[in-house]
Amino acid sequence: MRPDPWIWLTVPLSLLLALLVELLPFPQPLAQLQPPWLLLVVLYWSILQPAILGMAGAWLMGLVLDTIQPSFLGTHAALFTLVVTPVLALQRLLRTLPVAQQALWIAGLVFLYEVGELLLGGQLTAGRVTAHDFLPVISTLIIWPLLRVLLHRCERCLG
Amino acid sequence: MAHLFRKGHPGPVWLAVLLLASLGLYLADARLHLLDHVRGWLMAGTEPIQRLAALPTQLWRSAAEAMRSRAAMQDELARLSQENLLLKAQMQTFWAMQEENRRLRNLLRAVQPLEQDLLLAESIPVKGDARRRMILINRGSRDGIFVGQAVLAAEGLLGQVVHVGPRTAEVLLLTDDMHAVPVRIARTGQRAIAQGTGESGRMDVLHLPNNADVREGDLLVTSGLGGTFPAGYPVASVSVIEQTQSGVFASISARPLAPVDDVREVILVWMRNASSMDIPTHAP
Repeated sequence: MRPDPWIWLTVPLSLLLALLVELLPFPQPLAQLQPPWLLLVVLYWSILQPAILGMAGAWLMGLVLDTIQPSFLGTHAALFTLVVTPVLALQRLLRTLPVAQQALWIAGLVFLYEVGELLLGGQLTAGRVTAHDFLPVISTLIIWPLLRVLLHRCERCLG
Repeated sequence: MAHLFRKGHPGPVWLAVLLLASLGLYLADARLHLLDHVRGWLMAGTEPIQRLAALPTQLWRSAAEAMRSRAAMQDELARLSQENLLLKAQMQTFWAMQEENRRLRNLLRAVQPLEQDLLLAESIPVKGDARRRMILINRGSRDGIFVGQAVLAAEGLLGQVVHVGPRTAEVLLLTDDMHAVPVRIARTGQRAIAQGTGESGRMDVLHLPNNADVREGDLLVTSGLGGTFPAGYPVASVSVIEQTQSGVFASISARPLAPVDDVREVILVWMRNASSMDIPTHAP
């Protein structure tokens, strides 16, 4: 399974787009539902083309998010690395799973990511956590199948 | 760079290296504050993406502006010119009062108030962390913006600058739960701390005892203690007062005056010693 050269264009482009969507200021009820777009795209490529991004790529993307969001440097970088590690280890299994099961796996990882974000942001220890903080987990369940189809199309029409 | 990491299975060694690198960055940034310059460069790198992401909102706003009717514009123009006239009339007495204040302080050999420079900036409409109350503004270190600088809205205090890039800066709003302002009650002069709660319309007023003289609607202004914020700017008005049965301190909430949810334009403040020669060198 050797990735074709077009993939070197598709991956950065999709990551850039994810970053743009991440930054769009949606109105309030929608903003709370926003899944972690960049993480989802990173996870997609980790499952489908694990050789391209890898752990270091995920770390770098987390660092980009750290500079764009007002978090301390290194927090999202660590979280991205931690979330991508089990995906890379179980890549062969995840790749063959049906969409629904795959979405459940991804939503579980997004849950852990949100917990990590709350922990490192200090909200968990300050007791300022509400159910709203976990809405992205639910939206991930819905978005993941769509995102998978979309990115697969992109990969095909470019490749 | 991906070629570097392609060989072999992504092993625990890489995980350890990357996590240690994250930890190092975190400690250097959060605990030692060594990375302010690095952060500036990184913000310069991500600025084009942020400007691009802000484009749809800005286009939408300017389209909405262009669609407004001529009558509505004329109404607004009339309202603004009236407001301008009133403000100018008020300013006439203000100059006289400032001069009088300076003279009286000189007589008392008291410390002169700090003078202030102001700069207008616009907010760049991008989404940050959903859990933080922050905005991005279109001025940075090239305009002399610095970390810790006070930021105002037309109605009152808005927050302070926390990160500075060359042409952008991040402002922590006073409703963020990591933000606190030293305030005093304008009516009585009693001092307290106004702490953000993370909710847009509510701040907690800390350290006021149960028997403190506070009423609903009391204006809280910056006390100037701590040196970050200039003294005397309005911050919030007291909205709810609850005497606690147990404990010494009352539980008081206040509503910020600045429109923290929809910030378009902000004002940055520089404080400088106007006439440092007037400050007495000896202790009274």
